[in-house]
Amino acid sequence: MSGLAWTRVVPQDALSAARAQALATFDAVGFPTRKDEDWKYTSVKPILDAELAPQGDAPGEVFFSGLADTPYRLIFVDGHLVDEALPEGVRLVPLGEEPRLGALAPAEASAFVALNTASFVGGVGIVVRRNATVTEPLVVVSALSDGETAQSVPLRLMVVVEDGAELTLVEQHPAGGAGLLNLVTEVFVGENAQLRHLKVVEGDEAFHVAHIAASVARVGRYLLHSLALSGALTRTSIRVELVGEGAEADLSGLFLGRDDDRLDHTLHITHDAPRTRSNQRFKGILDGQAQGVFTGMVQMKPGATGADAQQKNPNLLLSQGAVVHTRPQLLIDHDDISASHGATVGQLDEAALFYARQRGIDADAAQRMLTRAFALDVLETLPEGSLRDLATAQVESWMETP
Amino acid sequence: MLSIKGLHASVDGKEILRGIDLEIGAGEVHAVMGPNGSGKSTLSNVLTGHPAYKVTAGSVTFQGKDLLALSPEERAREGVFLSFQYPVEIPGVSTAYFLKEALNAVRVHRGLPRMDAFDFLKLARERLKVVGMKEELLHRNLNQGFSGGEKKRNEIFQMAMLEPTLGLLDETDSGLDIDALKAVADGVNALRTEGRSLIVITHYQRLLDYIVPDFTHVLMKGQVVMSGGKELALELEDRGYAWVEEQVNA
Ligand SMILES: Nc1ncnc2c1ncn2[C@@H]1O[C@H](COP(=O)(O)OP(=O)(O)OP(=O)(O)O)[C@@H](O)[C@H]1O
Ligand SMILES: [Mg+2]
Repeated sequence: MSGLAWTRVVPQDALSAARAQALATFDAVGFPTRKDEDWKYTSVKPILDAELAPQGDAPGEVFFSGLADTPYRLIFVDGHLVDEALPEGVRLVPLGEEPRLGALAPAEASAFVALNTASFVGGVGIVVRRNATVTEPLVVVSALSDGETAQSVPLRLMVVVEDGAELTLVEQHPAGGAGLLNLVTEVFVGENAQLRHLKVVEGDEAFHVAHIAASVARVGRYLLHSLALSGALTRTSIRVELVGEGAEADLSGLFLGRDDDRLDHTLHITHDAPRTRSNQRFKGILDGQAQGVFTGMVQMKPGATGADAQQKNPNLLLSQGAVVHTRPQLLIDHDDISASHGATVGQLDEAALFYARQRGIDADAAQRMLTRAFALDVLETLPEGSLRDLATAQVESWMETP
Repeated sequence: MLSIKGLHASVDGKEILRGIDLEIGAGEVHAVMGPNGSGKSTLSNVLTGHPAYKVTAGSVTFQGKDLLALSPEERAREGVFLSFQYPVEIPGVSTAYFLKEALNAVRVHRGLPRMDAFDFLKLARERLKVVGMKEELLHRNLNQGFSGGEKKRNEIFQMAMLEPTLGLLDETDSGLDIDALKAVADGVNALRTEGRSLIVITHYQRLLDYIVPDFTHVLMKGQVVMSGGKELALELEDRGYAWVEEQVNA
């Protein structure tokens, strides 16, 4: 069996036609190379070199903790839904019957989206009923087992928050598995609806390639917090289309890398309606030989009068070998907008380090204190309480890991 | 307690301190004055171990120990405290959190148990009064958005918490209004004990009216060119540094 057999798996089901078309798209373009602007700094070679098996028929064994206080959850293991408990106002729909599948994430979006469409078996649509305000978060866990053969697991999600509804989605990818998770999530935020989406990738040897494509209707809000905590290759591409007047996207994140970690956030935001607002605030901290990438592309369509786009990407390099590529890009077709961006790359403040040491704090502790402060600042975009505590605990546990 | 002999130091390959000799006894207060750029802050940076400054010759003995062989944090734990001329702002770290870490590092070194949040706050409230600092500042990010006066009070407050053996006060009076100057000086005086020595760097006699020194030294071009008692500070205020230069050259 060839190492790339996992790219040829096409289930026969209601989606057969779409799958065949997606596979044809993949065959036409192939995997991205460094010549592809969107993949300029992230090589997919490690994935192609890994001997991955196609997704198995049954989930393997996994161990993870931290779900004790979570009444509402969907748990996927190796792409198979193994546990579900839903709050009032939320229902699951099979994706085979969902006409919007692929509307935001067409096969043309990337090789990984095409392969996901061609081969996913696991996955569901999560629909929040009109005007339902779901107060408890819905936790979606997707774990990979660490079995004898590492698998390529395509997982497909769709989140539909209908008009006036509100949901908090916590997506967790615990460490400890192997293989590739190829995740595609399509998000529809209705009129005056809100989705708060916390995504935590606890990196390890496994590859994580995620593509989130969201569309936000009139005065809807999409609030994303993306944490990439290490990982051999963790790529998160985020596409948001602000299609309704007054729609908002507030996107923040942290990428923390050490050793040979490869962490990539690539964002495309399209303002396609008047008075739309977007805000990107991503911070990177890189140590060892780690490499971080932040690409933030904002496009203002001619209809986006009075729109506002803000973007910030400060980065901290803790070693000589660490690298960050940061590319803020603004494409504007007209001038009735306001926009600003700021990308910086720096080291810890020497004066602050000395100040702390002069007070008796040792050099390592001083460095940890300043690094922690730099990171936790981003989490202040999360509401105080359990969500921020969860994210803080994740970041602190990363920091405490040697 | 502190003995500085023939100390030479440079920064960026440029020699700034060119042979400093100073003897500081236990409980003494020494004022150090001198024109801008004469090397006063460099001296405090060298004594506290700032990595940018290289000692090229000389020795510093502190309570029988070779001070120059210790890291900045070891010196601090041994009881050397610097009230910075320009206190540093640290976003994302509260004053209380920072100082609790510092206090516990110092306590552990001195063989004392770590202090918990409750006892820390109790002690902090007590010592805030010594310098007349608002408790609210404890919960703000360290020095961030503090006024010039608040920053200087915060330095002396930290000194009151850490209880050093040797305090280096680098222009603690600059940026203070008259009332704040009095409050900070009262705070410093409250910390004067038999065993605690102070080096007070200042441009103005005003501060020395409150913190009366036992000795005054004039630093020029990296050397101590004149030493005397408290009356020397008055004389400098009157006659300026040109007079010192003439005396030295004569
Ligand atoms: N980190 C540094 N890099 C380069 N030059 C320095 C550095 N620190 C001090 N110097 C230089 O050393 C000399 C002495 O500076 P220092 O700060 O010690 O003076 P000072 O006596 O404290 O002056 P002031 O009264 O203005 O505070 C100056 O010429 C200064 O520019
Ligand atoms: Mg100075």
